[in-house]
Amino acid sequence: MNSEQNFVGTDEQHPEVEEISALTEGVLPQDRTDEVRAHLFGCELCADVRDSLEEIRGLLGRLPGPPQMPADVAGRIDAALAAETLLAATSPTPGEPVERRPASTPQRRAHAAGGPARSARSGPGRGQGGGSRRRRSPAVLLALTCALVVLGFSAFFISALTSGDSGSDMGAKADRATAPVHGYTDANLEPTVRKLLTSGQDDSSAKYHRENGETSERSPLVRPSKNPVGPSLPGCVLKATGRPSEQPLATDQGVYRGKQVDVVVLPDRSDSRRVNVFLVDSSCANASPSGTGTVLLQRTVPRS
Amino acid sequence: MDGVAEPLSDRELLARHVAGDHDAFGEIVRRHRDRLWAVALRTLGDREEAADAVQDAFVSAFRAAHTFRGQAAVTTWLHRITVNACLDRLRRAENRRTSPVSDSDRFEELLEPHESAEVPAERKELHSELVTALGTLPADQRAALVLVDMQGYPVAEAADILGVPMGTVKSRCARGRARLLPLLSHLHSGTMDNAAAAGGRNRTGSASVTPTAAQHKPRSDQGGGGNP
Repeated sequence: MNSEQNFVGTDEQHPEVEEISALTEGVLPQDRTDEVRAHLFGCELCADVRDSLEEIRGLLGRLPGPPQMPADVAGRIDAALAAETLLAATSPTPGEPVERRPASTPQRRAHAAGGPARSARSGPGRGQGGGSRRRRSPAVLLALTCALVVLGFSAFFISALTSGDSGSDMGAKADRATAPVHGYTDANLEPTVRKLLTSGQDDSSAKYHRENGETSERSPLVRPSKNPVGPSLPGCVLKATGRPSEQPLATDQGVYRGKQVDVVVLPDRSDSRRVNVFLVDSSCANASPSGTGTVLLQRTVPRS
Repeated sequence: MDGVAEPLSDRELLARHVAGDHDAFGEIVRRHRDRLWAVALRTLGDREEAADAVQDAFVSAFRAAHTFRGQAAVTTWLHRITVNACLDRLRRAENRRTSPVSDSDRFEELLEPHESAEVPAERKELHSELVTALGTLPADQRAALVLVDMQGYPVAEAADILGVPMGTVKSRCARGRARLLPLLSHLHSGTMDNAAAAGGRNRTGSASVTPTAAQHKPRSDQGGGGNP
């Protein structure tokens, strides 16, 4: 039984590889640490094991890794988060902090986030279970849909979601509490405004609507094509623009930085290719309808 | 760690997000998504699973931002959510008893696109073997090795991310490396002159294995090499 490697003693067992590995990490119990270290000192075989373990560690560190998140994955995540943002903005009480929304709209969230979005914490009864691969296709499609929506059709997407909730005539401009709102950000202001302006000139909204299988003749989605101006706004909002007598090119209602806003688009006086956009805090309608509202954001953007 | 001097810290961005700034969270995502992607892809070994896990993690973080109390760095918090999402998926997969063959195949395929043409074939094979072997490890050991050995996080940070003591991270790494050793040993014997001893000790089923070598064949051989 004795080979030349067994010079440490015929009865002495070599330590387990795991023990040698634990020794190098310093997590072996002290008494065993002394024994294994003594063994390694005299056993070339086990010293080789130790070296090999170090080599594995080095190899793992040198493995060529994925350089960056692929664009399609990044886009998918952006879309899911944009859907979260938009859905947060469609809460029944716009303007309240974002974090309170999820609990109030679980079904809508699950739908728009593509299903798999759940708490990352593990917990019983979350029930995703197997078959995520099979469920992926709809999830991806949904995410792509969300991406499209976010890119250009946010107005109509929100309308579709909220119309199911209110069940009322969404064309009722006076019903400010249930009117569809857009999430306005500094980044999406320009495309959203452009969409507002062009929605009256082509049929894209109705077309998009049909493609998503949400067709409804009563839907507000068709409305903008007949009325590019949008909802009528209280006087305090129009006054806030400083040009209350002018006819807006378009109006809208939305949420900007957590506040409900009315959006007024007026022609730029010095450049006909540009428009002035005003995001006005809509709380003035209740506080002092005849006063002057607060402009939260004013921008000049190209018409197209 | 961010590498780029940003005008706003992660914490400030997160606070703005909670306050309703719709752009703040997107900036957080842009800063951290590549690192989280690397962790998820290496832990899960499957592109689609990793994409789902990172998406889940970011959506969870988006919703739970108000619970962030600043006791940890935002990046650690994001890693923790991501790693938890990955471990959830791994454990579900383990419960489904996914066949090791398909696991290995998936792990191998994730290496291919990143290996440049100039990398020597031997090295490619080594990488491939290593990645495949990684895919056979238990989820906890895999996650620890990905964070510490592959991504190079300090043990303390990995412990924060995994929510376990540092000693636990170290022993998971130790056990994981021990299990990788026999799976790689045949490459050593083929490419290294001085590997005869290590190869003899760990190579199973070889004619050169001495009784002594067989006697201390590592336990991990049984668990790691030949999953049922």
